[in-house]
Amino acid sequence: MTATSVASQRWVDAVTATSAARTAGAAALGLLAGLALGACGVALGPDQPWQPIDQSGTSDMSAEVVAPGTLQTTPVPPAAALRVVTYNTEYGEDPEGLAAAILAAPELAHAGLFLLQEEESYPGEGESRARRLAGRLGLGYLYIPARHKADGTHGLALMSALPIDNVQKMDLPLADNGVQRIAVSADVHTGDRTLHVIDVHLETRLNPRDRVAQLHPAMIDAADSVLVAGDFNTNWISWAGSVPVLANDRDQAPIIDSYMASLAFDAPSAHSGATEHAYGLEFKLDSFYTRQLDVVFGGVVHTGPSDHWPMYLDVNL
Amino acid sequence: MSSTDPARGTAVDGSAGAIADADARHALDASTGVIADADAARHAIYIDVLGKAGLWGAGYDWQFRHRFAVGAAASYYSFDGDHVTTLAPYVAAYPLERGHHRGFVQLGPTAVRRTTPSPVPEWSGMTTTRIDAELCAGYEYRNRVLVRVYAMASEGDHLAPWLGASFGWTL
Repeated sequence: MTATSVASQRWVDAVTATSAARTAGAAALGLLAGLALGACGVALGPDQPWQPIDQSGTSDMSAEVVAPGTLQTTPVPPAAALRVVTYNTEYGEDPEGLAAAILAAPELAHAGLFLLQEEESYPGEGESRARRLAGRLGLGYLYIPARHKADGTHGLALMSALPIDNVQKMDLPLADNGVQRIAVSADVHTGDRTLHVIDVHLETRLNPRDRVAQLHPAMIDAADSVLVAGDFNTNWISWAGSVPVLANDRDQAPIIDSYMASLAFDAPSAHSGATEHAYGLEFKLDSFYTRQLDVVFGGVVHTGPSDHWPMYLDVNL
Repeated sequence: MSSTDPARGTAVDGSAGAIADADARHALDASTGVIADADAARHAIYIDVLGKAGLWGAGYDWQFRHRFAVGAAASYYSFDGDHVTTLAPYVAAYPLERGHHRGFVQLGPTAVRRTTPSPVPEWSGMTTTRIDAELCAGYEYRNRVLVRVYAMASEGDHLAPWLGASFGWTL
């Protein structure tokens, strides 16, 4: 090879490297610009008040209420403690499978109160999925839609062996990258005592500050003695709008625990471990928070067809 | 006379047995007529995006052996109101190599300090500091410019897989 050809090859190499550098630099700048724009966060809608469920919507969004005993097939024995379960049923698609899993688990089979998330109802199925599940569990129930989904609804449900009243629903501040989420509050009557409970399901794609802001309206005026449970969606992902961008150091559960502690809530499930499993990964999305209650945390039961696992605790009465 | 050291991919002065480092990037192998590899620069600086340094960061590494390097990426940025500081030192190995293209593995701890401000008056916000282990594996193009794309797994309280990319220059 001649000196000319060597020089020529060097020139080609230099041009190639320069071109690659420009391409790499442009790609990096473009990506950073996109991230900077996306990192501006989401906008949350205004706070809404608690509303009694019979005033909370049009007919197809009205709550379904069936009192304990109506569907009951087995008597609930009196106990010194009320077992409470929180469970995201992943659309309640398989009421029979959910009921079978619950009734086969000794920790869950005799629970007196279930706070459920992601129940749904569709006209073509004849009766709501909550009703089918409650019937198999022998419990009364409430199904409170949060929003329309296809020709049906999606919402929260409470299933109880005990009388429930004073049921209210709150539309949580709507995230502009999400869907309408709600909280449901109710009074559960355990003999001569009333247990105030709040069932919550928060948006998935929120960063910690927005997650606190979405939860806050439902917590700030809660009763002094109260149990809060649900799917807080405390994932470990950072979101730029709807795009997941980070995975490290973003476990949101301790941040929500800290916020709730500022309102004098205990976090009995703080060390529960994962409550949701998907794609081979595990997340702690579900929690209990209690205030001025004597509770004993039970655990997470790895059962059922949902992507979440049910979690339970006992409230000493 | 020059020859190409297949292990280093750089030109070797046969009489002295020393690496002809000054012109190694574009050395000519007289026997084959092929431009010998490669980027013998041992230092690299880069911008890291989405990977070990979080949203973005700056990094440096130094190859102390042909197939091994040490380095670190660091960052400070604000993300959706949170303030994040990250330091991620690592050791790297290059088990695969072909010309300017290499496969790499990086392993090291990552320390992240994050401050979340409060959106409500009742709560004062929260600052956390944690140290996780991070394993990265990916592809590197190294020829004056440095381009890396990689998959990573962060293990702390939980296993978190993710993707990252680096763009920079060798020195």
